Formats: sequence, structure tokens, C-alpha cells
Amino acid sequence: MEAVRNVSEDLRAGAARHSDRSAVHRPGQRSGVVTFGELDARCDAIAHGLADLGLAPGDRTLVFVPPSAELVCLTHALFRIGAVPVLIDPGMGRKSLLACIEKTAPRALIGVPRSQLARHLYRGAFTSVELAVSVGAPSLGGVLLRDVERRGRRSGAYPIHPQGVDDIAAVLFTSGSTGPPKGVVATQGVFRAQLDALKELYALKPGEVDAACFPLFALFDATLGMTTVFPPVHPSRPARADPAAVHRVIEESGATFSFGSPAIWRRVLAWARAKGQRFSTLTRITIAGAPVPPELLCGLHELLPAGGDVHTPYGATEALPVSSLAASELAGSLRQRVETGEGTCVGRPAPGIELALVPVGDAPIDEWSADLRLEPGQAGEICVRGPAVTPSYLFDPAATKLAKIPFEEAGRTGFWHRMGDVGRLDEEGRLWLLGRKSHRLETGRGLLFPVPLENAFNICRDVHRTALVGVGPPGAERPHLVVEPEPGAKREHVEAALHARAQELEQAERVEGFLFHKSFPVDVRHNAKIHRRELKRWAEERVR
Amino acid sequence: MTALATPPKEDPEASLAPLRSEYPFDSHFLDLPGARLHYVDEGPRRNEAVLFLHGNPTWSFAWRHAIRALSPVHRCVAPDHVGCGLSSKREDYPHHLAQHVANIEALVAHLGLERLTLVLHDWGGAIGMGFARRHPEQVARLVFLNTAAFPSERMPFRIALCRVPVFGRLAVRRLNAFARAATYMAVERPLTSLAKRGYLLPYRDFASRVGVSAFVEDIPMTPDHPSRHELEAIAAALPSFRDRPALVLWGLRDWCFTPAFLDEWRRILPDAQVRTFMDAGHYLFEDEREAVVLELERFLTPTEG
Repeated sequence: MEAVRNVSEDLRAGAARHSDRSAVHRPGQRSGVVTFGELDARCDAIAHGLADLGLAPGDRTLVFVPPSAELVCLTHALFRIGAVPVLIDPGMGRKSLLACIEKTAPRALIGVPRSQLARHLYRGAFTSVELAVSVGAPSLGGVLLRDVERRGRRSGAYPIHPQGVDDIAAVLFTSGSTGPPKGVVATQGVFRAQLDALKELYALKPGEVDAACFPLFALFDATLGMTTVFPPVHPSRPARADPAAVHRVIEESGATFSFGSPAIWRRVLAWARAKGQRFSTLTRITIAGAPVPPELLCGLHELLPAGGDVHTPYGATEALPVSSLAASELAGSLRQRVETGEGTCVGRPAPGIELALVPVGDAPIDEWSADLRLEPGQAGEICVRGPAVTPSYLFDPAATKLAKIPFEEAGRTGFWHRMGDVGRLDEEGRLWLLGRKSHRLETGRGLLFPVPLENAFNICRDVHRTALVGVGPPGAERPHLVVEPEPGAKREHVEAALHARAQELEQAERVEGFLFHKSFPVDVRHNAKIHRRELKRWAEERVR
Repeated sequence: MTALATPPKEDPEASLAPLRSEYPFDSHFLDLPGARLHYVDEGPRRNEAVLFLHGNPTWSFAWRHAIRALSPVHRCVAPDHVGCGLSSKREDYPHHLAQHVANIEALVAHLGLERLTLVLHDWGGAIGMGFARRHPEQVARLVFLNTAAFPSERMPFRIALCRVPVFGRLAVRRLNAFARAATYMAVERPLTSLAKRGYLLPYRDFASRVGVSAFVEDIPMTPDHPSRHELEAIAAALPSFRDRPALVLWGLRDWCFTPAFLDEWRRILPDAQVRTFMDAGHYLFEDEREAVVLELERFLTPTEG
């Protein structure tokens, strides 16, 4: 198997060059600043300590530690051993969480006292755990991370485990908005390719300061030689972040880059406009996690100093980045095309990514063939391949089979990953999203995808958001646009605006009616992903 | 003015020769009762100026990068407090906060300055705000760098050690413990040999270290300290400067003026712009010289619209 540099080698090399540079800083905390030299030494000490306790290459290790210098150290310590960190988004709810843990069969658990408590309360899910390490306060029988680190402190540099491209580097469980969470298997090769793509797309350079509104980006920062500053954003409640505090941390730290979800940036934009505030050092904002409306992208662009840009990568945990769009690109006619119902433009393919569109369907595709590929301009499910695309789901062959299409071409074997999104490529090679595959409407006149129409109506005055749902059984679904008005908006005004907009849009004739909903059912986490099935049921009760 | 002041032992011009490439400023002297105050005065002769006040154990040398960058546009005035730098050093001088404040008043009056931007570092914060309290109408803007102008119960152990009556005074004066230690403990990147030489230049012998030692002893930690009353009066006046544009620049790796002091500034001056430097310590104008100068320039240049 082809060898690849373990990503933790990068952290070590960076620390050797700039040992005294700040690596992680949490404003307002006493411990303040951690340098790259300290970070690297801590990684080695923890790696030695864990290896002494018997942790071995390949051991899956649950990590429940909030984003911090500690999390960076732990993750890299595991990389150095060749053990596999398993990161589970705690925002998914207890039942899903326990199911994920049980499915993973981890050998070790490293986590805050709360996770240790869970290990005792829900023993069933944790039966495979042989080694428990407690982070922070001592609790319930786990070894203390502090002691593990102390044990390894005098042992010097840990011999970093050599890795092959296809060796599993980490398992990531994210809360999928549809279906049970699946463990995405990331290999060393995937991480390497992701780092390269992000570096190239956003011109990331060592020595830059990242205000990590998406705190897990700290793991990339450390590897790229960038300094992470943590703004006060709760990892599982980003929509509640205090925009003034986020702005302050960015300004005070002189951050040049920031990565965060639309929920955070929407708040920051509204606050900055109200207060007449701008950014003075920030030159790149990257927004991901949910669709980003042009208004947000362009609005933030105006807050940046000259030459700054706002980017939104398209992708998923399984493949990121697939493509990327900059506000500067969107500024012209592109924005108008989004707002008149062509879909959501997500830009051109990212470095190393190859795109194909295939017919929409829910069944597995056993084998790739050239005739699956749709003609340019046609709408279909987005498929991607390339070194940054993850190969499988952990212990889930059914899900893997559903999402991957194996190919054999000129002696090369591999797979295409199905994104579950429907899109279209334009003449200039830009990708346009039309909606999730599972959100499609099967009407009597064929398939209808929700995003183009929603974009076109979302810009109406007093409209907060919209969702296109089908009333009736698949094959005879009647499209209705459910509208959530801005709080306090007058119903007549909204109706008038919607009808006026409908007159301007050709596709609007397919909408059979408008329905008003006070507050969409959405995910708690981002306050962005709409629970469509629930909304469809709600609409069906109304229309009947 | 009297001519009582003892002239520096050596000709300052000669001792400055090796520093000239970085500190190419003319030396000016103001004779004060019992002392001679050395100061730098660069840039256009106007009654509006940027007044730089150093702390302990530094001198106007600390401001050399800022002065060189700003003086083409702004008048830059930077005195050495009595007992420091090239100002006179005498055993019997009252090295107290109120005296240093009075000296600054004399300098400002002598130069006929009417509108000032105060740039304050370390103990210069208390001296500068002591001046501001008495002449608020002359203070247009404020810049604070790792400083305080309020009493604090926190004194770092290493400074406390210097205050142990006999050991402290001897260590500071015999061994130059304070100034020498500061050349490595206050910076996060090693100083160039020229910069190190510059910082230590005025403090080469026992007699010359009187000011450094006196400054350390003048930190009013207890309520009965002679400067405590002055410092409390200064602190009480701070909120009245909330309406002035203020900039706080802070090296986060300062074991003396820790981020707790920064938080106190935020509380006192909630509208101040704050810029922190993660890679810098107490001598942030050395660790982050470009960034500090850039921030000063940005702050001093009025923005359009």
C-alpha cells in the first residue's frame, strides 16, 4: 500500500520551526496561550502515556473532549500511536449517541467526567471499553489524563506510527438530518487531501490566526501551523453565540481567517450592521454546515477589508470540500440567477475532486458505468471521487453500498461517492444545487426539486424562509410552498409580496398554494435544517 | 529652573553612538528642581503631540520604532523619567509617582503642548493618567500598552522578590537584577544584541540603578504606601476619560501585567479598542514591533466617513 505522511508529522515539523509561536488561545482563560512547542511536547507525552497503558495502533478510541488545546493534543497523540480517534457529535441526542458508541465497539474512552458517568449508566453501549481516561476532574475510576501525560513526559519524542494512504485515521459521526448517524471513515490519505485542498482554496498560510467559530477546525489549524483562537461559541449551540463577543475576539486577536456555520455568521452580520462595525484584519470568512444564502455571503463580504472574500465550500463529512463559491464571484449576475430560481450555486469543483451527475434513484448502484453519467445541463444526483472522499461507513456495509459506486477503469479501481444531493452543472463548470435527493417532489408532471423555488421566494420582504413540500402520495404530489414569515410581519403584506413574486417567476406556476407556518420544525443545533417530513404531514392536514 | 542637576557621568552623545542606527534622535534636556530630564522631541513642531511615557526599567529607547515611524507626520515627545535612561540619577531625589507626574507637567508646559495623545507603558500608565487627571482638557486620545493606573493586590512573585527590603534593593542595584532580567523575561523573542545593549545602557553601574530600584519600591501595594493615595486618586478619575478615543494594546504573555489587568481596562473603558498579541510579552513593542506601530498609525489616522 502507498505510504503517506502521518498528518501528525506536520504538527511536529511546524513545532520544530516555530516552537514559540502561539498554537491555541482561549481569550479570557487564565491558562491563556499554548505554544506549538508545548503542544507538540504534550502530544508526545500523552502518546507515550497512552501507549504505556496498552493503547495500540488501530485501537478505536472514543474522544469526548470539548474543542480546546487538550482536544488537539489528544487527537494528535492518537494519530502518533496509530490509534483511531472516534469523534461523535454530542448534539445528536442520547439514543443516537449510544447507538453510535455500541456500533463502534471502541477499545478506549477518553473524555470529560460526564462521558465517564455515561459509561457507568449505560454499560451496554460501552462493553468493549477496556481503558478509560478521564479529562479534567477525577471521576468514577478512569485514569486521569494529567497522570497519563505525566507518565510520558520524560520519554521524549514519540516515534510516529507510519501510515498507509488507506489506513483509518479517524471515525467521525455527525448528526445526519436524515436517518441514523453513520460513522464516516477518514483515512490518512483523506486528511492529507483535505488539508491540501483547503490550503489551496483559501490560501491558508502558517502563522495565520483562525478564529475557530467551528471549533473542530482547530485540528486543521494545528496541522497547518495556524494559530487557533476560540471565540465564545458553544459547539452544540452555535446559533446562540453572542455576535458582539465573536466580533470582539476576532478584532482583538487580529484573526485573518474564520470558519463557522451560517447560524453564527447571520447573527454577526445583523449585529455588525446595526452597530456599524466592520472587520479590520479578517480577510477570509468560510461558511459551511448548511446552505448559505447570497444575501449572507455578500453582506459579510462588505464587512471585510479590501481584498477580503467570503467563501462557502460545498461538501459533507464524507467529502469536503467538493466545491467552493466566493462572494466576489456571486456579486454579479450569478446572484441574480440564484434569486430567480436556478438553484444554489456552489461554485467550481475543489482541487482533486471529479464530479458526475447520475439519474436520481434510491437503490444502490452496484457498478459504475460510463452511461450512468448524465448529459451536461441535466439534473441528477451529485457523485464525487478523489483523494479527499471517504471510502466507507464504519461497520455499516448496507449504508456503504447505498452511498458508494465501485468503478474499475484502465486497471484502476475505486469508488464514486453519492452525495444524496441533486444538482446540475452549468456551461462554465459551476455546480448548482437543486435540493436533497430525499426532498424531491414526485408530481404528476415529473420530479420537482425544492431549492430553486425556495431561493426565489426567500428574498421576498418579510419572508424568513420557505419550504416546498408535496401534498399527496409520491407520483401525485401537489407542490405547496410553506412560508415562515419574519416575526411580526403582517400576513396581508407577506401574501401580497408572494403573489407579486409568483407573477415574475416562470416556475412559480407549478406551486399550487401558499401555506403559512409560524415557526418551522428545525434542528436545534444549527436552527437551519428543516424537518421536511414533519412539514409535509402538517401541510397535508391543512390542504385536505 | 535651577542648574543643580548632576550631569550624567559620561557624555550621553558618546554612549549613544552604538545605538544611533536605531535611536537616531537628538537629545534634549530640561532642567528641573534637583534633576535633569532627558527627552526626545521629533517631528513637526506643533502644539499637538504624541507623548510616550515609558515604564520601569526602560527608557525612551523603548519607543524608537514608533517614533521613527510616526514622526514624519506626528510630533513625538518621549521623556526619560528621572532616575531612568539619560535623565539624572540621584540618591536623594524623591522618586515618587506624584513627582514623576509633576515632571511631565513641567515638560508639557515647557514645550507648550496643548493637545496630547498619551501612549503609556507599564508604570508610565500611572504617571500618564496622573497627568491626565490634572489636565483632562489637554488629553485627546489614550493608548495603553501592558500597563495599569489603578491599585492591584496582585504583584507577581518575581517583582515581590525585588521588594524584599535588603535583598531586593541589593539585587536590583548590585546585580541589575531588574533591568537585566527584563531583557529576557519581558520579551518572547530574543532581543537583538543592539536592543539589549540599548535597554541596559543607562543602568550600567550601582549609582545609575537608583531609579530602577526606586520605581520597584514605589509600587504601592499597601494602603499606607506614600504613592497609594496618588494612585487611588488617579484610578478614581479614569472613568471620566470614557469619552476619549482609546486603544489598548496587550502582550498576552506578560507575567506581570497579566490579562487580568487587561480585563480591568475593559471594565473601566468599555468603548476602548483592544488588540491583543498572543506571541508577545511585556515588551510588546519589541516582540510585535511592526504590528504595534501599525496599530498606533491606524489609531492616530482619522478614518474617512
